[in-house]
Amino acid sequence: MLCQNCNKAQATCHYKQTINGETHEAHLCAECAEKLGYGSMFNFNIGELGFGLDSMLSHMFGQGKKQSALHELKCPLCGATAEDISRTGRVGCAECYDVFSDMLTPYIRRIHGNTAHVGRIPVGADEQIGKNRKIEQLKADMQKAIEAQEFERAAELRDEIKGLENNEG
Amino acid sequence: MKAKWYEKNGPEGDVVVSTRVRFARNLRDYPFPGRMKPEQEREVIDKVAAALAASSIGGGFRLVEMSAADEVARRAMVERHVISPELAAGKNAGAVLLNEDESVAVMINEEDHLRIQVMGAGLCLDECLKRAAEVDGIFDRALKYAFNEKLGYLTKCPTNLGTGMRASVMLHLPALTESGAIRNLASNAAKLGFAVRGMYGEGSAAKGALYQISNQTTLGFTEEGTVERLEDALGQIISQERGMRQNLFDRAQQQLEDRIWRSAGALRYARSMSTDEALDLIGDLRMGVSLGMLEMDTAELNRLLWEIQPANIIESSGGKDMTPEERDRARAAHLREILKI
Ligand SMILES: [Zn+2]
Ligand SMILES: [Zn+2]
Repeated sequence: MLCQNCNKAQATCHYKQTINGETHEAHLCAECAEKLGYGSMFNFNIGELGFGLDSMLSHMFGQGKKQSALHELKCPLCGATAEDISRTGRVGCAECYDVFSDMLTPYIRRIHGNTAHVGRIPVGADEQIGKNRKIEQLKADMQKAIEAQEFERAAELRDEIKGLENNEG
Repeated sequence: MKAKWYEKNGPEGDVVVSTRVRFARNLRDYPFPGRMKPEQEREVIDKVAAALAASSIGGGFRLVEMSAADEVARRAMVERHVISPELAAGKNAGAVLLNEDESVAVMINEEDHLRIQVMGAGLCLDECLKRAAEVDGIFDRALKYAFNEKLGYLTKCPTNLGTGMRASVMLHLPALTESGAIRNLASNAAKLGFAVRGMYGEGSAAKGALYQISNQTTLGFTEEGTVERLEDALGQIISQERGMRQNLFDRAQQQLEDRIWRSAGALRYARSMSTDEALDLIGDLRMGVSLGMLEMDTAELNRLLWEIQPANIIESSGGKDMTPEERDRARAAHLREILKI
């Protein structure tokens, strides 16, 4: 990640703060952090702690445009509804993250920023993730082949993708 | 009874009391706790316990089911940070797997199916992380974790997505508290993505100048990176606290000496003592030791921080119901016995 101030150096300083329910994030290099006054922990005294999670959720979901469609959704594994999740701020099961993905994604971004997991990976997931990355790569290659009108090549790639997707899990 | 993890001395022990690393994990094929049927809750407990039992370290663990533990035992475990108040409250059928010195605890059916926790004395983030990862590996191989490539480990509360890791360090900051500098700590730590709380978590007052600082960010950071950033922040806090203690010593050595020995006297001779008073007095002694004013084993003082808590006093006095007055007398007796100053 590059420093969001200078866009040159690597961001090594990460800040997150919630003021009145709004989360502010800053990813800066050490130099910019210093320049913008994020330096020592002891020089500052701004803001409050805490995410105000529940209010943020009800605020978000209360204003959702796809309300009626959301109302009909129900998780097949745990039975949770959009309303259950928005009321409690808690998700019903692993499957819910897929079922309610449209609703949860903006919310997750607000908590964590637009970012993806980079930490530990379960042993079983290792292979699957490798496969997913491979499929993504092949799809990009296929798109390029189509654009270059190399249809034979594109068909080969399509079959390869199908093969990978079919022996999933 | 085997010694507990907190009966040892740890790195930076003058300021850092203890370290804890916790992983939140869930099973893919079961609804999260709170949405499971009773038979599913039972299955999760059995599967998790069986997975650990079948591993090479399984023999050192015992399973404590919340339904089988009485209220005093549950509260005592909460006070020792072995389980959370939520698990003790018993809303779901929960349990904890505990090793002999209680440095490793695996809560089952708390907010998430598993909360793998490792604790250690002093500042030992790397070691706790390594041990937590080992225990995590055992369950990872035996069970099907809920995991998503982009979101990481799937947790019941979306704030824990990603690593699902909470690294938390308990600090004793009497000089920063006294000088008032502590007021800025929480807000400054928040800017760095860390939360500061009292000894018993959210909303609990920082009694005895004891604070917990922990990471708030879990998605987009590695476990090691998070621990490194926490260590950097702690480095600043620790040196500030040490500087302030020296400052206090230089400015008011005689008053400080008098206070610390008075605290020693009260701990040595009092016949009745509340938890709050004991925490403050033990804190004075910890500071006195760090400034070379009196000679004592810091580990002896640290174990008292846990042992003098109300339910632990009841438990060590035979596990019967006690009035607050009886507890205060038992607490004073326990302090006299351990601190033969
Ligand atoms: Zn920069
Ligand atoms: Zn669900």
